[in-house]
Amino acid sequence: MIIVKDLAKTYGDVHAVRNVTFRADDAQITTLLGANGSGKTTTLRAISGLLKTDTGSVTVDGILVAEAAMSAQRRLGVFPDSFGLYPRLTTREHLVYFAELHGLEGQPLKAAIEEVTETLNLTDILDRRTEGFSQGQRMKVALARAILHKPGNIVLDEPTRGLDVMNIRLLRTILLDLKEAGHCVLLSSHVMAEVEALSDHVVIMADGVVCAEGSPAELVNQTGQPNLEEAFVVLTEQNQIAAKPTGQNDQGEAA
Amino acid sequence: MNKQAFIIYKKELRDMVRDRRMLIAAFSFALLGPVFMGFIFMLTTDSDAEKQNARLAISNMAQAPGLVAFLEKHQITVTNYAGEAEPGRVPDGTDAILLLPDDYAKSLSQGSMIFGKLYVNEASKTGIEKGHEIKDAIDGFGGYIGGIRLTARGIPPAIVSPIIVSKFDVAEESFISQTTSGSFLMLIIMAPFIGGLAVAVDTLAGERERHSMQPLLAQPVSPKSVILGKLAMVSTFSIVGTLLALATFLFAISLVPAGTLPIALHLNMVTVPLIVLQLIPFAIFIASVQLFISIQVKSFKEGQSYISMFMMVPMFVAYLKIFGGSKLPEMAFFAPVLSEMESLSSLIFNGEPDFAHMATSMAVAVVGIYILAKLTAKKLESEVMLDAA
Repeated sequence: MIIVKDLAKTYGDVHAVRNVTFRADDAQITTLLGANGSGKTTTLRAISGLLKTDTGSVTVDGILVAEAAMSAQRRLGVFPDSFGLYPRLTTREHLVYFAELHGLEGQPLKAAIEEVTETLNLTDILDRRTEGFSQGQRMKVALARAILHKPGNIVLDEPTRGLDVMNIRLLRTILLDLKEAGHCVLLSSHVMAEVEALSDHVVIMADGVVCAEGSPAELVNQTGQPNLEEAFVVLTEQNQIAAKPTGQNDQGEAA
Repeated sequence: MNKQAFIIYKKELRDMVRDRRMLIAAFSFALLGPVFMGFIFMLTTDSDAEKQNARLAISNMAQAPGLVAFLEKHQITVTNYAGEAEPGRVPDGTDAILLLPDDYAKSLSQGSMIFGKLYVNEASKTGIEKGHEIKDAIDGFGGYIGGIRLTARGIPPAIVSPIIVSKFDVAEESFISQTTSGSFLMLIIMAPFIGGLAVAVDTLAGERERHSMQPLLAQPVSPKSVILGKLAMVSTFSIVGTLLALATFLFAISLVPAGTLPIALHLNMVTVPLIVLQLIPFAIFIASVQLFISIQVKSFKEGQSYISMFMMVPMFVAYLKIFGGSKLPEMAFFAPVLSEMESLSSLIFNGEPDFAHMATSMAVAVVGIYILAKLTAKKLESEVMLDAA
């Protein structure tokens, strides 16, 4: 379980995120939904222990990331926004490397690789170097790397970016399986269809703040819109109006 | 090295060894060392010309038996010249041409002044030296004839030669020896710089550019372990490159006939291990500097630019030692790289350790490695590491 409370992070004069608060429960898929630049990646990086926040806290299974980042990282599987593979290493070598960094060795390591190979159907690419892999194959290696050590919490930053329909369907199936197995799955996305199909809980972000959260159905009902996409538009517009200083018009100009 | 650093080291080494370009970049210098040294030997062979007789071609030679005998007595080989009246070049096999007037014998017997022309080729150091040697001998003959003429007239020759001086060269080593020894030192000192260059750039700037830094930092591994593993990998390339350069150096030396080098080398079972012992911390130190530079940049290309500039350091220091060594204050030789060269110089060319410079260079290396590794690890904690160029 991941709990984010009052998270804030600034880069110079820019507020990347402000007062971000939400929780991602086990056996659920939680989605951060927002436009580009809304603060999703900053939030996920803070959860992954990759950046220090100005204020607020993140706990992973009760462990404060700011105080014990490595302990929290042992309970996390991270799928970054870019796959970040080593082109000269084979899939198996990627898996061995990251498994060893998580302390796996000997028979447990072999068993973990066999299991993830079967889950993600990696047999045909297991001993091939990743140079020249298709986007789908790269996604599989990156995902295998993230779930190999069976983390309780899996964080995925825009996992479907660049994937074709078949690979999106495959990824969706895997994420649903992980959820069924009791994992806490937290992902970011701006693809409505994907969010609607996968998510148990949606956290809508705009301009670095959380402007609404709930299940897709709850968000649709709350706004009285026909679907999640329309609900998203209404909620983010309401947030913009609320954030605008008094005395400004729709274009943000002084009245 | 802790376990996680060792895991990173293994992966980094496997990754780099598979890149042919990295291997070529790392070891080509060490393997091409013999070629470079062959060039040095060629220059050395040219210097042997100093030991050969100067060769002079003389026109109207038959009229000047006394001059010929005088010159031959002064180790100058004389041949007859029957070429152009205004030679445009000095022919091969000759160092100079002396054109004597057609009435040489007559003028000599009459005690008249004789105007000759000496043609030399001063395009090379050897040409300059041979030209001076011949000119000095001809002047000597002139002085000898003048002395006889004065004596015949009852005038002591000392009247017109009040001071006679002899010249002695007190330089510790000749210019050619200084250049050769300096070049050998530069070859060895540059090896660790080149051995680790490409891999140092790839392991940090390259990793950032490939976006693989973020997944690595999201694992439960400390920045200290990451840098330790990467430093061990770069150091491996650096050390192997250095030892390979030293091995090719020893191999090339073994091919040179004894006594033909202008410098004495003391490479034996005592000095070689000491050279290796000194070069290893130096190679790790250079690797840590390269990693520190690599972590400051966002892309492989940017890293290459900065680390290539760093490559100039050993070249500048080597040339400083060759051309300005005698003018530097004593303390300057305790500076990084220069102290390394000074200590290696003592081992290689004198056959005895220079403990003061050896200890200084090793201490600088150890302290430098510690500080730079700490700073590099600190930089790795920075959030800017998550973004690539």
